[in-house]
Amino acid sequence: MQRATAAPDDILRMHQTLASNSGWGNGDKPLGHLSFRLSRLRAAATTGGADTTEILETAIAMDRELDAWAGNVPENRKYTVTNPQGSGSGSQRHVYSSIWAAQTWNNYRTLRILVRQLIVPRCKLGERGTHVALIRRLSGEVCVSAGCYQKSPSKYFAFFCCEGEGANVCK
Amino acid sequence: MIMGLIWPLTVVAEEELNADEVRRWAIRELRNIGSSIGHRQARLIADTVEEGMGSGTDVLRG
Repeated sequence: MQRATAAPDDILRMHQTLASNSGWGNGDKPLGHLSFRLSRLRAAATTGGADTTEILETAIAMDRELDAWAGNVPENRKYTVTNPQGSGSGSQRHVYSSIWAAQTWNNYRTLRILVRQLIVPRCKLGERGTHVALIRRLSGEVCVSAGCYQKSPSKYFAFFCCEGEGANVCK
Repeated sequence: MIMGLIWPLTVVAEEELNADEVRRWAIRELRNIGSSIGHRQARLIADTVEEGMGSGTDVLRG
């Protein structure tokens, strides 16, 4: 993904064979599968293996799939947003069901930012604002999820506010 | 799990559409990861991204 090269076919086939419903819904379209497809699309965009229209249409379709993924997440895997008292206006904290849930949500956000990066330079000028706004919103959510504990390296391991680990976090 | 944050923070830091303060916050967090748990890759990414902000280059996009 970092070098905009396509994931090898063998890895994709292995993933398809091993992938199972992990309880996140969208059993046939897990995030891992979307990430492999995105790596291929980014590679095509970089190497000129597809024309602009094809890249744009594929990216838009992929963005819809990611949106659907987020919409189909089971209740027990969703996170909540809180505004801690005394933390100043605009401060937010995310509360996830587990570290793994937080990680999955950040993977979703990252994939969607990367997809939108393919859309922004190829879409109509009047549509860019919407895509840019989503990129910024998702980036902010990544920062909020990572910034529950600020400044103190000793607390750095308690990265996410997780309900199941409440006794160990935010101290 | 800390390592799992490196990729999202890198993407946030690299995204030129984000405000500079957001990008620099992500860079600081990457450095915090590097210094807190000795993860050299996080420090390297932070240094490279910050350098790229000044020169206009892009780690992810080449």
